[in-house]
Amino acid sequence: MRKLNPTLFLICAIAVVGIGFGVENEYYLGVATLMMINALNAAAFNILLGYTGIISMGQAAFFGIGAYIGAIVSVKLGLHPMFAVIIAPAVAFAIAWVVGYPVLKLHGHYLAMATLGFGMIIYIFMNEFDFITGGPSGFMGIGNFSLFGLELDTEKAFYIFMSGFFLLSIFLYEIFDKSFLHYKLKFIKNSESACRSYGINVIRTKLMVFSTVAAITALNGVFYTYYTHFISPVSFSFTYSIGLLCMAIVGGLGYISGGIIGAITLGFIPEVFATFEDFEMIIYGGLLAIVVMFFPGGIAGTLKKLVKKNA
Amino acid sequence: MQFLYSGLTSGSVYGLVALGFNIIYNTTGIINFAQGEFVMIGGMLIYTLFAVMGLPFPIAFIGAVGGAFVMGILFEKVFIRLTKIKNELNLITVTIAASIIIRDLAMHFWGRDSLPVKEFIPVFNIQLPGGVMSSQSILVIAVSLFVAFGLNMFLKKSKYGKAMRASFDDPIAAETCGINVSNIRVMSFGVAALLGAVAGVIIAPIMFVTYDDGIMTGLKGFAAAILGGMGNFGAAIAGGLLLGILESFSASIIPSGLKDAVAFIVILIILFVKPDGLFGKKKVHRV
Amino acid sequence: MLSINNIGVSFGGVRALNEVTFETPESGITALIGPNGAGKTTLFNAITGFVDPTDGNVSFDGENITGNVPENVFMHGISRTFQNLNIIPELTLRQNMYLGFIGKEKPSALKTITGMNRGYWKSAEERIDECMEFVNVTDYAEMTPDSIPYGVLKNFELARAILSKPKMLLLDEPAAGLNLTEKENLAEMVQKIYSKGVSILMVEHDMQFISSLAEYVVCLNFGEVIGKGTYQEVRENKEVLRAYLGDDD
Repeated sequence: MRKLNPTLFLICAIAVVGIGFGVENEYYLGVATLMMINALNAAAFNILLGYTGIISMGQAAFFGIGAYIGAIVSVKLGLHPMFAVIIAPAVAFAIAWVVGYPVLKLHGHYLAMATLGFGMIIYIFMNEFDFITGGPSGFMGIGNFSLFGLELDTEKAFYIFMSGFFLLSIFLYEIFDKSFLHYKLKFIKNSESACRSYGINVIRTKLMVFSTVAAITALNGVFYTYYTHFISPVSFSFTYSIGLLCMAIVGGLGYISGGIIGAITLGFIPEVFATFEDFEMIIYGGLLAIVVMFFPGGIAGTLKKLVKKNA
Repeated sequence: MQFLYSGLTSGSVYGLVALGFNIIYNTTGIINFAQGEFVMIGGMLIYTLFAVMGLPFPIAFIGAVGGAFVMGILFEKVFIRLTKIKNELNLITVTIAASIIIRDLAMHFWGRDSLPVKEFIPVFNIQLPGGVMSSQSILVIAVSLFVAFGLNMFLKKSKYGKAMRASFDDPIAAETCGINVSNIRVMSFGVAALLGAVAGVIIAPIMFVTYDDGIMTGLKGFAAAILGGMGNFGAAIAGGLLLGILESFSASIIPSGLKDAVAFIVILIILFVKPDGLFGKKKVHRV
Repeated sequence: MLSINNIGVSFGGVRALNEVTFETPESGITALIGPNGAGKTTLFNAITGFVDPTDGNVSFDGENITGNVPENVFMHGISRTFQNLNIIPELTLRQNMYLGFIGKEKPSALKTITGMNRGYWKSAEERIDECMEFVNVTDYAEMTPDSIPYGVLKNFELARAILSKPKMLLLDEPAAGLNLTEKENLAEMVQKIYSKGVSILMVEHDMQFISSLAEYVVCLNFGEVIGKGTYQEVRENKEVLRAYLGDDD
């Protein structure tokens, strides 16, 4: 059995705890919370693209489905947020299964187009079915998340909760990275024909991965809702799907750390370049282009190569 | 019948964009996700040259289309040429990155507002069975069909056209026969950008030009290309027209906001049922 | 062991295989020869379920396997290789071996997620060691493919194909791209695998390679069987000679 590598977990734990103790500014705590949500989504997306080779350009849809279910459970149904934590991933899993069944037979740009189309449809529904979603003006008045009777009513409280979930997820991702399952996915990415000739049920495995990632993304969506207390379709548009693609690629495809590094790197851009507010997207696009063109392994891959060279 | 006429207008534009996708795909095997941005660039350039600077239309037109052509060539030379590992994913991604950059530069240049472009020809309505059509719509349709037809003849009959097709079929064999494959690849990007710009110019007076038009136009054009079937020019135009008609027909029976979803639902169905498109040839899959 | 009855395959209007019929011996090495484009790989794909035959049927060990998906054909005990190697460059040879194991002995999902499948890893590693030893690639186990000679990778492929203990091995051009020494070494390995009771069917161009191995040879041309029999018989078959040497003999 391959040994678990605790480095990533430890670095994340130190960073998260450090910020928790060192940062009192609510704005920065909020930035950190959102970065963690993005990092988890990007890491999940990385399993899809970097490990299994499924190019999905509609991940924002699942994030949105989770977020809206969170809002509906809390505002319209008046239920405890924990219901959303159960319902949202289940619904996303089911939708992904139904959509994935025909879609995952496609490859390359056909798959990209189909998932993109799915994402657009969900986005348009969010805008148009305003009797459920509140339409383009959004969904307001979403309450706080609560856990075992504790209400997470401050930035700090939510940050602590999200940190716990973040570290737990990283730990699970690391176990996945060292499991047989991860090999199976890499073999599928390498050659579906070879996998099938060795008895691997490629379609079913891809469906499982696609649906599980959708469920994880939806769960993050639930947390996002209870963090921001306000959601509107703009947050779940094509741009967010592209954002996840950027994070995974800039961070490094095929590395668990890739999604996390990417989310942090891209998350810092608007903070660092706040003075050139409008140039945010150019920096985004430019960074993506440079990484794809010159550093195919992303940040994680390039670092690994450097370490190897020096060793 | 009215929906048919308005569908044909938007469909022609989708068709031209689909044609652009096809040209690049046929010669390089790449799907250029920035194709829609060239439509926007065409519209923006005609705004600057014709509406702002007041150049005579023919000169402005040549300027806009020529500008896009040069941009297409630069696009290939920078983004495609310099990509180290040219696999499908990287090429899709690099074109997405490029589209983000182009879109944002356009925003800085031309601002966030929708810009109006005045008509190139006298505006009047023509009474047709079951509806009316404006002279501008007819211009759009006529230009699209003319361009598509001309392009088809160019590829079938001319030396360059044949070289383009040969480069896609077998780049190595084409190179051996003395065809400069890398020039052909560059040219295909130039021509595709030019086609996009033509679409952008002719549609500009009907719809305003906005910096972020490219996303939807590109997606719909891609949808049209897949609907018709990749790798076939006639099919691209047919796919575009069909998509336009379907869209405007559905707008007449469902809330107009859902109109955009129709294109994508159609595409999903096509991809499930007949991934090679309605008019495409079935490709033999190698394992 | 493998019996092909009247197999026909059409792609659109193209008839790739037509009324192909032959049977491999109960235990033996069979070679499938023929000029480029004769339909050899298509026949492999039809046997292993990658292509649905338009007509005819395939049976293996007395069971009809026509139209089975590749996964099921594998479960019946047929392992195959492809013309390309299907090795992941960033993994070591040992890690690349897992491919041969996962499909056959499915790890339990629960144990995989919780990381409690030590027993599974152990049995996998043991079997992998055994197979790598068998074809002499153990020395390369911890290296990545970019630093390993091509001949060794070809041997590795054999090791991976026998991991699941198949009854029959289908090899698609095993000797292509190898030099003389490597070919001899590969022939030895194929012979060794056969001696363990695994029947072999291979597509191959190299007649010398075949002559030292195959007892039974089938020749395809334009999708049809134009000769079958022992190596000598096929060698002297007029039609086979014509297909290979042209009409002007």
